[in-house]
Amino acid sequence: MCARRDDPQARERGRARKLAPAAGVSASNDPRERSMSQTPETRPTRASPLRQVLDPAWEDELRAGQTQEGESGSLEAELAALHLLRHARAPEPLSAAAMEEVWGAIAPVVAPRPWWRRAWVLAGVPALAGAAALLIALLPAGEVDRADTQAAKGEAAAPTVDRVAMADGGRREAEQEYSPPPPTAAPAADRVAMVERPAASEPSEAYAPPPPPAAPARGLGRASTPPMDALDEVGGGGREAAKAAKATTTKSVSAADRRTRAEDGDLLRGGLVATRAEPRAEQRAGDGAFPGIEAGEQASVGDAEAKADQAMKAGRGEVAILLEQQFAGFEPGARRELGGRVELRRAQARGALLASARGAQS
Amino acid sequence: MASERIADEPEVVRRAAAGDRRAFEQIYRAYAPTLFSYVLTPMLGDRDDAQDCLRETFLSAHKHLGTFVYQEGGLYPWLKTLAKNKARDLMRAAGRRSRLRGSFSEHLDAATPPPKNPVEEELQRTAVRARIEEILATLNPRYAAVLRLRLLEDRPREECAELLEVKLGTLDVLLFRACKSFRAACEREGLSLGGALA
Repeated sequence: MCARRDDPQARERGRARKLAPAAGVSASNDPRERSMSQTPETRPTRASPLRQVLDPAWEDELRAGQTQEGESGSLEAELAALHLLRHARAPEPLSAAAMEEVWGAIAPVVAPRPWWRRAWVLAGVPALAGAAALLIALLPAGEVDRADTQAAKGEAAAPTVDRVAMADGGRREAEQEYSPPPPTAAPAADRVAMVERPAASEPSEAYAPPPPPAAPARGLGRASTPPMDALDEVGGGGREAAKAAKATTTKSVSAADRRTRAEDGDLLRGGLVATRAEPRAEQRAGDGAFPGIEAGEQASVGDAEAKADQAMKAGRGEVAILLEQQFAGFEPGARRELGGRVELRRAQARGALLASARGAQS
Repeated sequence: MASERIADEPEVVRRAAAGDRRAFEQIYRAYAPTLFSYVLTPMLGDRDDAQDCLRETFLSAHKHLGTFVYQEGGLYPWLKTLAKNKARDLMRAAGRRSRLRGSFSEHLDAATPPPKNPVEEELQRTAVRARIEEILATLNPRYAAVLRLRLLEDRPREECAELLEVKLGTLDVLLFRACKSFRAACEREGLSLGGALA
């Protein structure tokens, strides 16, 4: 040891022996030779983890040397030289974690936007929602109007016996549902004869209106007579009346004979609808004179009953029965309504008396 | 380290430009390591800055990929130009115009012609290694030895100190002097380290 320290040549030989593997590795420029020469024996055995190119510990080592050297100042140039040498050994790697971290920042921008986050959706959805809300707010009123119109049209086109059946009690509702027939110059019986018949069931020959009743009655029951007239005209028992009408009309009796029972039903329905619609006009005309209406009601009901009996005798029993049932339901309803009107008049008269009494007192 | 070129790269680029996320991810995973290791790290000399620039590079690439016209050189030169521009933007924003802390990209670019793909980047590093050996040969043998042992062979400090028969503190001084000597030798060779903004 002492001899070696004293002998410079021996010391140089020992140092060269120690450095020989390292020098051999670094002197090689061939990558294959370099990689082959980096056997586990020649590779550094390190207790600490491998420092990469940009490890800050390198700067610490340089700073320590600079301090021991008694210098100060920037180490950028020395650090760059150190980085270059480290890079020449092995470049700074992008670790898998760092790569995923960077991609995690890129991916949200790169990923295509879902359809609900696109601009046209963000702008269009509120507009659509507003339009939908507007429709919801406005549609019910329009729907109601349309439904009313359709109902009115449907009822006008195909009136039914059911609707006729409510003629008594639901007269006011019926007035709202059915528009009043336009006033015509024709007599009431004509109007009854021409009531709403479906166009499809209209025979090739026009229907001949029956002659007006001999004693036109006023009031609610008056309109119930025209169906009986029509019945006389189309029914088997009304052939004599049809023959009598043949002289005054252009319609043939044979056409009336060919009518089927269904057509009779249509006619009946049309007539009954007329019984409901007709009194409205009469009622308007008779406002203010209800005692007369009551009398007419009684007269017309009696007249209708007599005609129903006549129809039954003439062989149209079932039609007459239907009419009778209708009148049976019709009469109480008319009475109820007339009673209401009486009460209303009484109340009005009572109010007028009270008002006049107060005026006298003042 | 360097990634291989993408098979059927024009088609992948076309799909990525059309908004295909998987195609763009394929490009990212193929070129991000090379850009980070061979372009951004040498230019910036800082890992965090290099990662920030890498992210900005690929965001910009995704934004402008539709304007990219594919050429024979492929996508990598275009990405490398983007990365360099982003690195310069970052350095300007950081106010490091005059000197770059620990950057050595100019030395790499001076050593060989600019690489056009990841394989050429690896070849460039090999060429730089050869150039470094030439420079080390001109240095004091002790300086060259400490640079080889500590930096090129990555030997621990204790082992280097034992091989060089010096104390640890002396090894630090030796390393510092060796680095200064190496920088001076590079400047003599016409290569400035830690120099001006590229």
